[in-house]
Amino acid sequence: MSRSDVLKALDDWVSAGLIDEEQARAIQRHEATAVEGELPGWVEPVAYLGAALVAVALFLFGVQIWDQLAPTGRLLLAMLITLILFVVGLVMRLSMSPAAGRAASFSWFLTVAGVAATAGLIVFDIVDLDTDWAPLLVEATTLVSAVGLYMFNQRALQQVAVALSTASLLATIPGLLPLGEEGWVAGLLFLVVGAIWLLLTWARLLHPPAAGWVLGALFSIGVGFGAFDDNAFWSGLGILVGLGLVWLSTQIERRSLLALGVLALVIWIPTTVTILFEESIAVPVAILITGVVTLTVVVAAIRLGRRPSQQGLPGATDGAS
Amino acid sequence: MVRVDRRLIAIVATGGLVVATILVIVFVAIIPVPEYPALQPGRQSGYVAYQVGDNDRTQSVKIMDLETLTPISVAVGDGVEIVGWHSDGSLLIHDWRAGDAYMRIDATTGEQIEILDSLPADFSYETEAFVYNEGGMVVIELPIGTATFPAPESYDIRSAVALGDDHIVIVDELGRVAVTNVGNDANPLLVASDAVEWSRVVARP
Repeated sequence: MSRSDVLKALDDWVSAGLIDEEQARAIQRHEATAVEGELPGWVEPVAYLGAALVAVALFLFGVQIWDQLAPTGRLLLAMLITLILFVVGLVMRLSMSPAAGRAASFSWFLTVAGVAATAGLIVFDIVDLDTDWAPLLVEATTLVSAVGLYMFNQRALQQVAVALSTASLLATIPGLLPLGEEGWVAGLLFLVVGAIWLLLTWARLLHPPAAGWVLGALFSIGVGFGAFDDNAFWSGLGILVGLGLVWLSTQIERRSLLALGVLALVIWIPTTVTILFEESIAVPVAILITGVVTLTVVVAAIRLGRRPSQQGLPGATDGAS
Repeated sequence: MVRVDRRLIAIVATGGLVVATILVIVFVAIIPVPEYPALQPGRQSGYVAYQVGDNDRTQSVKIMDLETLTPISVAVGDGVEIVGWHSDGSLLIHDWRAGDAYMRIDATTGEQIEILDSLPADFSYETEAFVYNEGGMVVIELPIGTATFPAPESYDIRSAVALGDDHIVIVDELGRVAVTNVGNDANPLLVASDAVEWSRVVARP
């Protein structure tokens, strides 16, 4: 059983009421120290430094020979690198060591990037698909690979890979549809995906929950993209999402949601003020309004947070993953 | 037990959100690319010229008599660009292959009258329209007035010029040539659909 499997099993046992959160954390700590003791702590950062240097060297080498390669050569190179990353992740994943688990996760995160590059080379260089839908094909392939790897390794970075692939897809879709206005559809798509992400995290269908809450919140904040058509309704929704995240942070005691809620307020309040009162309110006034509202919301959140929180929501703190 | 309920709630809510979003996009957000009814002979006078080709390469220039809707095709090959109208009503085409050479074409017969080394002194380019989309309406602005009609934001009008004092001729992303009245109730009528999509269009009464 890999480390991610253990974490998922612990999460499930907590949900089923077999063990409590404290016991789960104790088991997690025990399992971590049992295998972490095998290697000194400095080994992992140094290993990452070495891997980064190798990656940079290979990248520079690739840049030098890239132009001299035929499209099939480029494709083979991209496929080879992707395959190596996948196999490295696969081998690492078999270890119970947390460090190996993190390396596996990172390797599979890069594998998704490799799939994107490979799909891009096939679509644009080999097949030379001359259609507006070509980027969508690449993005859909990337998303499928990201979801597939996430199913086998439910760790934060795999979830981030799924999120990045999804975001890329969402940003492309509005431009391909015959829409009256593209901006608000992008905002709507980000809001809906964010809401679904939060729902699935709440239902313990996404692991680890810490990543699920953060990514769901980030998608939800994207609702304000609808304001790019100078439509204050959507940036107003962005403010409501920010307030909602601040409220949610007090209910499930997740400081990351408080930070993201405040971030939403800092972005979408001045946007809304600028759209509505562009002619009559100066920039300093907009900043002042944003500051006052943000401070008020944070103080209110702190006061709310002092009350007993709801029980039964997944993950008590941000370190729960 | 609680876990099962949560998952059920999340899955049902996810399905509902997906369906609702698709419905909103299909029924509210999507505006189909406008269909243009065909212009009938005798409804409009004037001449329109545009480039015709294949795979983005110009093969010929077509001059359309809007009164009769009879096209005259001038075989020019790739490497040319329509410039505009000579003061005598003939068409001027820039031939890039021959450097600064301009073909002067008879608009009624399609025959080449002469080749000029430079544009006539009294020649002036037709003003190209400023085209943008606002709230699902395409807006075509020209000194003679503005034409607006529903179209998706992604819909491109590649070239638009005035036809007389109250009409506009356009070439869109689908290579359709249409003539429309000026105003908020613009009603484009299809003249032809064989223009290269980036073709410059020129028109004269």
